[in-house]
Amino acid sequence: MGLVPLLIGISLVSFGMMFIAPGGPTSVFLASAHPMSPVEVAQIRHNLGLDKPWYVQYFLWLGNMLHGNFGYSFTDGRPVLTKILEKVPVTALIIGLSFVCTILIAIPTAIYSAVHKDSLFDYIATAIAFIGYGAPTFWLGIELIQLFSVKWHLLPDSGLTSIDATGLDLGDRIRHLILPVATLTFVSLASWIRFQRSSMLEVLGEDYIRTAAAKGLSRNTVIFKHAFRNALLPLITLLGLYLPALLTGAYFVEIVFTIPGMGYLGLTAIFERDYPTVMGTTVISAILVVIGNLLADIGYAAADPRIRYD
Amino acid sequence: MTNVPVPVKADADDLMPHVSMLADVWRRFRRNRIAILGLVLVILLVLAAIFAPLLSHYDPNAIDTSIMGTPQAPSFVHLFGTDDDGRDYFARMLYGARISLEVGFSAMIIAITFGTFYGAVSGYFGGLTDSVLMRFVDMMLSFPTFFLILAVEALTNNFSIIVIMLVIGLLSWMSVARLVRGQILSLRERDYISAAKAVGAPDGRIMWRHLLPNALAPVIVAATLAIGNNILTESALSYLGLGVQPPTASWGNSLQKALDPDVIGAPWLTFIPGLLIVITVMAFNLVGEGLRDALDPRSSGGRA
Repeated sequence: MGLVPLLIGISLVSFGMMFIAPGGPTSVFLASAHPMSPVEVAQIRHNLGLDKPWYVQYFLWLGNMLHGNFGYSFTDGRPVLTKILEKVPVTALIIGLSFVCTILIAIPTAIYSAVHKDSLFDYIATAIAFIGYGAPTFWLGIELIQLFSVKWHLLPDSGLTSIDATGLDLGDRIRHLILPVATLTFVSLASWIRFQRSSMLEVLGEDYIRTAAAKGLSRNTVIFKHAFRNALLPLITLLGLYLPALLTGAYFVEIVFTIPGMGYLGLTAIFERDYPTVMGTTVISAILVVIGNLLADIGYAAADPRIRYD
Repeated sequence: MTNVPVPVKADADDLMPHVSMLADVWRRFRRNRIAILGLVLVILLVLAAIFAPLLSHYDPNAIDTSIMGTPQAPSFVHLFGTDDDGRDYFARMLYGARISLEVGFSAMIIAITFGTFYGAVSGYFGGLTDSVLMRFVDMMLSFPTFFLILAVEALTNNFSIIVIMLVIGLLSWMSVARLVRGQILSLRERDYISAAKAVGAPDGRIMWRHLLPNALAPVIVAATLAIGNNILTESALSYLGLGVQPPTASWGNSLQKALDPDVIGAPWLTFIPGLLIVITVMAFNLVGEGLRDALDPRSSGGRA
């Protein structure tokens, strides 16, 4: 398994980020409103273990991390892992919902486009895909807020719950989720429609499709039973490849709509120079991507009997 | 095959006149109307960026205090209206195009140069070198790239345009490296490479003269697509306040105040920069896709 070196590399890069900052991690204390004496700074450096050589610091950090201790946030002193884990469900909810929406829209659109290649529908779908591909996620979010929240007062523009909501109000939650999920869905649609369409076109050109049509099977049987199932295979790979982008997209959506998820946490940490949280978010994002890729590989092998991993 | 009477160069690839290959690509590219639309848009954008001072007599940073605080809607005086500081938005968008294109091109050149070199070394030497180098690429690709760019940009705390270019370029070369490696891997087993090795050509020469030129087509496509992606990245960084800093105009940082109370009644202030980003990224993608079809001799030149 190449997984172990991969994870070690990820941890090294995440750890290395801390050393890019001019002045190192303590610069945040030096720049604060109350200038500290060199003695105090040295004391803080000692408390945080920053006076040790970098490799000692790295192995301490790595060892702690393997025990589930990602360190403590510089800003509120809470364990980083707890801070991140409590945000994962929110991010997962947004990604999950928009992924389902994307698949439900993209696959039928792509199949219709491929089967009716060069039709008006195909052109419009391709054009929309190109636009979605070039549209910044945050801009789409802003425009949706401009229309649905500012202009028409239909949907809330931020957060996951209304301020006056009591307990978990499902209708309220859904209303808060519509715009963020729609934003992420639209930007994802582009890749999926294009990919599924070309995959379908490729399969439709295969000999076995011509054979199936030639032996008198109905058009629907050929399209759905023979072509569609084979055209779905490459999508499993795309899922693995697309996960980092999906995660980034979700982070943007969280930032624009002020939704307290991992992206919002990570960005706030970046602004506040909360190094342990930044490193923790980076490591966990990367691990999620690695797991996603692994699942995609396994899924691919399970779906396609021709693929075998040794 | 006649030997061209140029005494100094006698490599195999010189026997094929380069001009005719380019002409061939252009002939196929030209037939693709959508790609031509992309090319026209790109040329217009580049011209607009170069001749920005001629296209608008407004200074993009000049504040008109008489209309400060109340953004003016687009009119003949101010084509794209004014922002909440009373600055002419058309001028700001023109100068913003400069930033976008500068960052887009420069970061692309950094990423392509580094990625090509890295991928070529990895593919050419193979074995352990290849395993180690590609493991590193796998690892870098596991990070959500934008988050990494964001974190590095924030931690370096330097928002000069050079640093932005460097950070974007140095964190987006991985897919190019993978691409070039794949090309080199398949090319290096060809007979003409064995022939070059047999006559004792040094590694560097084989790589430069025989491998890279033949691996170039997909790199050119990737380079074109990368420009669009870099422009998106720059705008996102600037939107978050971790890229081009105001008062310098950039399409991304124009969106920073998009949801401020002052600006929310002026939808053109968010719509225009966003639309410009979409058009620009789309234009580069259309050219890239067109090039992909035109450079691949197997495709008939139509759009897939």
